Amino acid sequence: MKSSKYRPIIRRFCRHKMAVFCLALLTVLILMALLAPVISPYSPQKPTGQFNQPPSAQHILGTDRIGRDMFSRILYAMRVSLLVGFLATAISTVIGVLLGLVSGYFGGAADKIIMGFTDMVMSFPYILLVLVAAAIFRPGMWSIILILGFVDWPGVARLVRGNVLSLKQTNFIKGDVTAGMPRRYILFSEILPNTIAPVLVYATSVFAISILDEAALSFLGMGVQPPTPSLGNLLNGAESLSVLTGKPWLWLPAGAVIVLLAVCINFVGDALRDAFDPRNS
Amino acid sequence: MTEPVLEMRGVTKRFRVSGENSLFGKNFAAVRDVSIQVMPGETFGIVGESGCGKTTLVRLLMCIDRPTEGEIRFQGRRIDNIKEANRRALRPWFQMVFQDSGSSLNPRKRIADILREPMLYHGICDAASVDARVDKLLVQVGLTPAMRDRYPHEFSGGQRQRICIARALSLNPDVVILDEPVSALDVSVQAQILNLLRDLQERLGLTYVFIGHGLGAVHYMSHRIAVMYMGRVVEMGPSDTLFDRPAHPYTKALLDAAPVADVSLRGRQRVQMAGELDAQAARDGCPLLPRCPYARKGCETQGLELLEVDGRLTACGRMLELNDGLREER
Repeated sequence: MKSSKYRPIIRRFCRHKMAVFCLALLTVLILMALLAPVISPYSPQKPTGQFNQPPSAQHILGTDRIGRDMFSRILYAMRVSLLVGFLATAISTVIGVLLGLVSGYFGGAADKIIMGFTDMVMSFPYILLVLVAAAIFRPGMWSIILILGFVDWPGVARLVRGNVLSLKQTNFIKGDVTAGMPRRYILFSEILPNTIAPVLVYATSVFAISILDEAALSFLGMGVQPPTPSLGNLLNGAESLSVLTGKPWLWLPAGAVIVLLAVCINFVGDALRDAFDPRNS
Repeated sequence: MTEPVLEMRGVTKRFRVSGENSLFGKNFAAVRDVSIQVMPGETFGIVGESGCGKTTLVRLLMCIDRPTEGEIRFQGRRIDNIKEANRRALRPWFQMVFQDSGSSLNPRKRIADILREPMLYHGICDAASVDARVDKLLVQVGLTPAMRDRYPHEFSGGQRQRICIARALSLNPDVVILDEPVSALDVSVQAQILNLLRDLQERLGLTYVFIGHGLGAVHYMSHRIAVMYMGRVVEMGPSDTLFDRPAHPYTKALLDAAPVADVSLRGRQRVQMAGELDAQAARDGCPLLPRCPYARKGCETQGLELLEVDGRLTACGRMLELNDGLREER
């Protein structure tokens, strides 16, 4: 019963060859991040004694200026970046969905207040808001997660609100009202499942953006603090011209991983949108 | 005498319309002083062109809106002023079938779930017997139990409307309000659905309120008809009486507007209404006055009250008078 419910969704997803490939790649990357303690050849923090080594059989991605193995550091950095991206997305999606549901379904004063607040948050220059928040709170992984989570929700809230407003006009919601169904049923069993698909698609792009934002903030020194590696603060080394031009192994792999993650997540998101729509038989 | 199952007494519904010339906007009455009685087991038809107040009337009957004046009774009990919670408990007795069957079913749910959930919530049956009841409902509306696990988009428009009917019936309602249930369907499918509805009425003893703008379907379905114009009932009576001998010029115009298959009737004299309905125009006399080809002196001050003429209630007897006149001339 359960499996047959999801089979058509999986089938529609599989029609996107690129997305399937990206999902496989994403799975490999996530597995590598999860299994970092097992597969990393060296400790990400401890110097190995060999400084600024270009890639070799011993250190496949070389070592940095204090002699840490770059491959191990990237594996651990992926863990941090993925965790930041995932939790920030989860927080902003939950906030956005709840506010959007309340705003769209109840309307009136609640709608005006929530949407006014949403517009206010949206009208701040995003990166400035994040930077100021990062400066006020002590920079670190958890403050980054909270900051991104509490700044990214307006888009989701608006999306959900718009969806709820149009769903409220459909006859099946009117039919529920005439059938005397309770409000919680209408909200959570009828409206919410019909907004899940667009929210999920939107969430994938927020996930990608969060990873990029973490990288940007860490690159600027406001994010995850060294020695904890993150994809952003690995790029930090590229601030110096000699590293940028002479030692590409210090920043190229980290940059490539960021691009791969962002691209893969977006492709998967696109395929998900089509897969969730039962009209795309 | 039997009690009416559904009754409206002097119901008026006003909405605020933001006006251009007045600071506070003005009141606009979408339904004015409507009194109807729906008897158990009958089909009560309501016809009128778009904008005549049909939709508002349905919303009032379904307790979605409250009337500004007047009262609505269901089985003798007032339902227009009861609390929301009690109203919710009352709702299963009233069900509705909408015009657009495409948006009447949640696209993400299987037919079985759509039918199952309201029945479980209202305790019509328990988890053990609900599946059997779903199958029975599907058979009742002319579908097969094998279709229970399909999604709404896998059905045709007519089949979807059957599912909507099954959903309405699932709560064992006394009254089903049919809001133009066949207007969106093919003519051949229309007849099937109408026959199904009549069949179900006979078997289950249902009472229908049938809303439509096409007189053909309404006449076929209804025992009695109310013709609405600008929020008022202008003529009300037995279906055949209104059809064969309309008394109000507006009823006659509605009849004449419907296409007739008989070629020999092509040249017949028709009543045509000039212009369009202006729902916002307020006046004291007959609401039809600016459009009526038979208007005469005195119409400005009359034509609001329903009088009993020739076995029906009507606001105007002009058509009957004219017919009598023709007969005398001959």
